[in-house]
Amino acid sequence: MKLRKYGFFGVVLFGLLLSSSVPSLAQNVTYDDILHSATQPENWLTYGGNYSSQRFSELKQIDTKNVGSLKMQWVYQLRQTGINESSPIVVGGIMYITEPPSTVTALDVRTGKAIWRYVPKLPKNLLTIGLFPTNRGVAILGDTVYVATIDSYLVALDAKTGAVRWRTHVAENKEGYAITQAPLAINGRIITGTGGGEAGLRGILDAYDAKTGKRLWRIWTVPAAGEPGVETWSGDSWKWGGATTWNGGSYDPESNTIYWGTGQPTPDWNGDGRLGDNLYSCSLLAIDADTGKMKWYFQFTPHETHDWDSAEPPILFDATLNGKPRKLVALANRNAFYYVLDRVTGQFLVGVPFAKQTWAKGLDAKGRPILADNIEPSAQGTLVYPAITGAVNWSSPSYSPLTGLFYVNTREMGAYYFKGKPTIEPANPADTGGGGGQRTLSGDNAYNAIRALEATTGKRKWQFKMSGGDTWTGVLSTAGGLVFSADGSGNLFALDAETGKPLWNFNLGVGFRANPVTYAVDGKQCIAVSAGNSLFVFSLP
Amino acid sequence: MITIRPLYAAALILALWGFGLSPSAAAQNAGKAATSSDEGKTLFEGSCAVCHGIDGSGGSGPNIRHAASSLGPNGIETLVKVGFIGSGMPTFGELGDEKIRQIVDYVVSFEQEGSAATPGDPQKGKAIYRSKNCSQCHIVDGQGGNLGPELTRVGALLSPGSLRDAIVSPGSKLPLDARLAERAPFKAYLMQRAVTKDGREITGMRVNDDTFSVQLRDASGQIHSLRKSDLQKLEDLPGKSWMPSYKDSLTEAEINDLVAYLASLRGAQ
Repeated sequence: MKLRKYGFFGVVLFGLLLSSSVPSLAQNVTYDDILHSATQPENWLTYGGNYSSQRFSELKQIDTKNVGSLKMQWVYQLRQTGINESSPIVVGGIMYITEPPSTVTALDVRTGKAIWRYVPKLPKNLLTIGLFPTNRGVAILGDTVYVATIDSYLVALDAKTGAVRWRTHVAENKEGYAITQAPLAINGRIITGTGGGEAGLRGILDAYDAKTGKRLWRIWTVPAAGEPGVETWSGDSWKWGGATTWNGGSYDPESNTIYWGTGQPTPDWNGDGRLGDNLYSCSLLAIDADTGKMKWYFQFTPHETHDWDSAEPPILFDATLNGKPRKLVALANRNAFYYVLDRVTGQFLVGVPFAKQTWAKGLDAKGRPILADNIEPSAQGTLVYPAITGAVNWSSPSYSPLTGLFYVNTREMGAYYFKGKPTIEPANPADTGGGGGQRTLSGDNAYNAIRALEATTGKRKWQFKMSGGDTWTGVLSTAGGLVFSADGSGNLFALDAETGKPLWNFNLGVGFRANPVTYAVDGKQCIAVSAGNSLFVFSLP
Repeated sequence: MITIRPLYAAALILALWGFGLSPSAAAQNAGKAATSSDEGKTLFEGSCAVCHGIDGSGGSGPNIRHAASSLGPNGIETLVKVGFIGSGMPTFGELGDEKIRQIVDYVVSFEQEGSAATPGDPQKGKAIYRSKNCSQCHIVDGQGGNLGPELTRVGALLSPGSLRDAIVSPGSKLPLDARLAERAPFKAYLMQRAVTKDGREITGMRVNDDTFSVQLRDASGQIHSLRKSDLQKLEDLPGKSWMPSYKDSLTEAEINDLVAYLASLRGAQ
């Protein structure tokens, strides 16, 4: 552990390390552990809870009958303030969280006391174009914790001490590449994408050797000259096409396939200079985890002009559809449609709106949108639903195999979209404008709701409407028959997973921008969630 | 039932950041602003509009149309350069001084759009303000009642047209309140009627609410904290206001005078 590097912080934390009575469980998470994460629900091993990103837990100590008795256990106040979107990883008595923009803190899961903290040195002239300087979490594999930092490095930390094992340059922050997402750890590989699509760059998704940090493969999400798909970009527009991979992905170990969504084409609101479908923006990519080769893609919104990224977490599940057992991937898209695809072939199976949308008359047999009239951004402003922030955004939905329902925090909001002059200058990313702007119909003109959709059809079973402001909280479902989420005013709540009936709520006093998780310690199931600049933990008395 | 007292004047007029521009108004203003600084406009659209809206009237970020009054050009420049930690406002220092100055000029131009001269006489308007006892509900320079919004700086915050609307048809266009930083701007002075499960009825102006509770202020100024699970009914009363319309009780000239007086209120910050 290089205390000198961390100065006073390091000394203090080293002291904490010595004085804390932390469980001596080894932080040694094997690939097999993650594959079978459902058998150890006392841990929360990946960003999405499992490789399928279902955010479902087998824990059922907290259930519909006793959830009303939940009490707060402890609170951790972040040392690094800012936009807090962190989702914890919990293993062996330690909780690993991130603090904005790229700090990693290990906490004693019993008490919330800090064990170690890694504070990366970041450049002063950091570029964060089109994104907030935040971080959504870490990955763990073996005895190493992985964090992708805002300046586009991937860093491996010793899980017990926070010492840096290796630090690898992913992409050039001076070009606008910046990372906010949690990496994905699979068998010996760490997968990460980047954000920064508004900066006039091409999206990438990388795999790194978990032991050495050596890059194993890279896939570009926008084809270059001479490559298939480049014909979907007029002129040289592919050079700054965007389509970044800025949120989390999923993994099917059986087929060794990674599923990852891509963001909008650049510039956002003025597509005149990038005529064509703009592959592979606003798409779901299925990628061979060994080679980085694309197996298939599905583009949700061709030639997108409203900033509706398709970076929402894809949920993998198996179910019978039209009498046939299928391997499926579902995604509630920022464009307000819920999609179900065959995850082996990419075949479009289901596509229905799950929130108000006015941009498409529907989807054709292949899932391609049939556009409505007058939806393009304009100088005077064009009213379109959903708003720029989408019917959903980066926060995670949840799928319960017990109910067969897909739970999604849905935003009902429209926006006026304006078309401006695009100022693409890839050599100077700070000058790269979005080519317009927007004005959301927020406040009383909008609301959020937790919606429960039949996962195989998208048909709504129930909704729980919220008020008091916009919320960016993800959803957690449990075997206790519960769904956890939060409203925009700071109320963490539990709903009956079958009916949507509210069973418990607690006002944490500040809006949420994070996904709740659950785990168990000392035989007690806990619910943890970040809100404001704190992390709160609840359990039964 | 609550007795509705007269003269809860200009309950639609709100200070600080927000005012509920209609979408069409927002679009018109966006067009007008184009004449003030094309370079600044382009930069604003590229870097700022994503949060503050194309016309500065707010989106996920606050309404900044009156930032010139509240912050001054230097304050705006500092905010653009260094950001505001914890608010979501990033730094734009990398744009360089010249481009930041162009953005600042463009933001300052928002406020200048609404400063056209009004036809009325502010002195006569002040007399009308007194004779109609507007101070029963409004504070100007520290004096007056507190049920309606403070008007000390209302002339710097609202256009004459908006002031007229508030006098003639209160309740028809509610302003946005962004003072409660934990939530997005929401309608201020919205009248609501709550009926509890045991039959108690409360009518008041919504002060705040969330998924599980609502806080109403009644005509006496008392706050009622209500859990939504205890209510059998909670309804909005759109278009309602405790302030009467002065459309028929004032002449057109008197309304112009009152607008001119309110427009002249640009008080101490």
